[in-house]
Amino acid sequence: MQHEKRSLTRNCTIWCRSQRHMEEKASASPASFISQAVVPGDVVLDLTNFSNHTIKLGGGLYQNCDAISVMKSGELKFSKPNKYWVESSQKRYVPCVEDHVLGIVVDSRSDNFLVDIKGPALAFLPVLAFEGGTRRNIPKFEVGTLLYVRVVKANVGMNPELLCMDASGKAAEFGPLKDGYMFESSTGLAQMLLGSPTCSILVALGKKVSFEIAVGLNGRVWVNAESPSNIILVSNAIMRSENLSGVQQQIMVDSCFREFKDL
Amino acid sequence: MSVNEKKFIQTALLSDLRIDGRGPFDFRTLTIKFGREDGSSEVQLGQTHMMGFVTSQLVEPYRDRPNEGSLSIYTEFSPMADPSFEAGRPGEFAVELDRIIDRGLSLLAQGLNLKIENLTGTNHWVFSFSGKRAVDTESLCVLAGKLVWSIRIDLHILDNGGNLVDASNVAALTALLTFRRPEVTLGGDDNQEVIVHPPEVREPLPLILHHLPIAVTFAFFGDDNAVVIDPTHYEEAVMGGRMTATLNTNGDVCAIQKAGGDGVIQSVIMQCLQIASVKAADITTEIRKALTSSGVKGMLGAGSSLVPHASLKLYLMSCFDLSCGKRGWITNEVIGSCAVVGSKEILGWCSRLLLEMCSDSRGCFQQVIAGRRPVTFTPAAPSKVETYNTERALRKIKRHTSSVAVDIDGPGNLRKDISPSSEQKAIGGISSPLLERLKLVSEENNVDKRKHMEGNNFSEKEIYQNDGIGNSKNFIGGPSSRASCNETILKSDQETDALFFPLLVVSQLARCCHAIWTIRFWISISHGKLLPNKKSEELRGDERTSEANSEEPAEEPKAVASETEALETNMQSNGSKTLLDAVKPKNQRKKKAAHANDAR
Repeated sequence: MQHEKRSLTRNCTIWCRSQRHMEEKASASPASFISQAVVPGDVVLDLTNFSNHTIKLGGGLYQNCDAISVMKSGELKFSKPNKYWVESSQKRYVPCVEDHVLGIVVDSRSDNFLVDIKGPALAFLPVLAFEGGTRRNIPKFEVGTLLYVRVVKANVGMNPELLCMDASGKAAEFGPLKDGYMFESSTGLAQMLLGSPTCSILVALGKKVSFEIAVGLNGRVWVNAESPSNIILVSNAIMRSENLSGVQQQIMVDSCFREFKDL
Repeated sequence: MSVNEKKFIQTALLSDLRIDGRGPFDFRTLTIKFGREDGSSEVQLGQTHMMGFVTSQLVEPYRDRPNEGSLSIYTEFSPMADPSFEAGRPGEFAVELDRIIDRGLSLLAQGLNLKIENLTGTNHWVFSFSGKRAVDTESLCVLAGKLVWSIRIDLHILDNGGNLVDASNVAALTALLTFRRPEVTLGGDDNQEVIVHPPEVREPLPLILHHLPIAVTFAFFGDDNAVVIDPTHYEEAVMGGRMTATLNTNGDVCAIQKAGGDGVIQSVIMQCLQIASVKAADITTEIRKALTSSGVKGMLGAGSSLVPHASLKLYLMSCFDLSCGKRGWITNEVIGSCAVVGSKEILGWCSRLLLEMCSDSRGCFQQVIAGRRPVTFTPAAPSKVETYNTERALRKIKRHTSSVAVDIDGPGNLRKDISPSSEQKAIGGISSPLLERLKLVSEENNVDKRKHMEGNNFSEKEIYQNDGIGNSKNFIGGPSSRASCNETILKSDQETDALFFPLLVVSQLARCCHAIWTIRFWISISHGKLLPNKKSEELRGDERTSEANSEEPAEEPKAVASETEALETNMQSNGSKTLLDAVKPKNQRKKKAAHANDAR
């Protein structure tokens, strides 16, 4: 059962497939900065050419009248139809709207839970922010519960706000994660794992082991498999794969297999 | 930390699995590095990062221990190591950790007999065995009752990846092993005046360590007492209890500490001690390896600029031997009488002599070994690090490229090459081959990048030429032939006018214990004296006996023994050459000194 050669999507349930990580070429955009390294201060878009367009700005971009300038150094990414954002790899996470992250409950108050999402401030998760949430069925999360949540408000200096449901109000796999093992890494690794097409490390692992994985853009990764040794194998392989190219990742997975299967 | 992580660590341990893939009794990779100063070390145990610094100060001794120095340990928990460490006032955890580290390391200084402290709580006890102290505090006494050395160890925690106790222990030990304290002599009328010699004048001395206590930490989980060694940060957050056992490779248990936490049954403790003794041996080997590979530099300390033609006293310092022996450096006066101690010691005082004579302040002689440093100078076992070290030492040594130069490969070749000159028995006057060589030496200005040390594969060394120091000429024949490192000529850097010594030669010589008489000649020559022929005979005789002596010590490197015979014949012939080479007009010598001074 474990080693059927099925596609990765069946072996490995990727819980977070954010649209914004579908990389496509910029079309008819004057900006030559797409997929280029940008530094704070660069003006990447001139809005005078964009009338009647709606542009969505992701993390690291900032609107200054008619110019979109960069706030965080990294690589400028674009996805159709109109999303721009800056990607970079750090150990710290800067909260940004519409990010899917893994948070750990730190405290619970009367109207919201305090959740740590590796950002500069604790985030608030309203107790009603669940599908069909009413005052009667407030979930009871103990301190240390791991949650898969979505960031809805992230302003500088304020505590971010989270939701445990998608835009239409459905649960859509948000919520607490049971069992498994969570480890922390850099935001770059998380972006790589979430990129599409599926990154080679997950493909290589999926061919040999069946596992579940949830990746938060704040650098947290949750892995679940049937046996502890598989979990250890997958998590160690992913942790080591950050700076490797596709082929190197394949090789690394093979060596991990030899190393950990002896356990 | 999330609930998932905690549960997973415990469930994985039920199947003897750890989250980083280690076995329950595996240590993480230990990396030891040394700083440029004496007594500074940097230790990495997995993600845990520590730095240790040792400094010394002359203070008044404690009233109840008037003739012992003291050792004190300070740990600094930097906030960059762990978010729970606060700058300034340490938190509760930091204080407890500080106490554990201090207690573990205080075994280095205190000679405690069997002592059982049952501190608050039944699970909190400290056993201290072993009357032996690790650091010999009595040797730190300068004036009984008035002045002693106080050694201070500062440990800085740079990154807390778990198991701070073990890492800090290794950091402290390695810092102590590379620390050098200034030498003090008693002078004045009543021998009460204490003179502290700066490192430029007198070689600083290492501390005497009797043994190396190594701490091994165990973590206990759950009711079934699952035991792991060297817990990581995450495992420490989940563990039920912790125990640290400090042992040395002699099989002594120095201390066992268990501060609260889950109860543990006796059989588990005994099992832990057995595992700890194995691990302690491993860690000691690691420390030794790191020291020798980085390390003669560590041993000798900063050999900065020396006074040329300074007093010819050589000091054999007591160097602790990592394999639990002791060696001494002896004070010697080279001109006139000389107590020959043995080949290992020769190396030591030869280097010292060279240091004093040589006005080079680049520290190329830092690589010269003092006493017995088998790894660095055993040609039988060259390693990359050795080669690097020797290369550094020799980088200023120029190889003589004349035909008489012996080639690198071995004693056999040496003999062949030297044979023409070996026929010369007369000591007076410079033979024509020698003259030739001298001329060649003076003509050569290029850097010759050959290595002649047998067994040492050096990469290129820069060799500078020295025109006209008689001393250098001395070495053309003797040392090189002897140590199968052929002709190393003392040359001065024409660019910098500094003097450089064929340190490598000396080191090799020391092994063959030929250095004694060779150096003697050399020194006398530099002072305008030519030793008479009979002295050379004597010395040769001395050499033989010392050679014989040198073979006695058990730890004699094999290479030495194998080479001594081969080199013996060479020695003689080289000896005569050395004496011949000694002729150097005084004015040139002075010029050299002037140059050397300028160079500095």
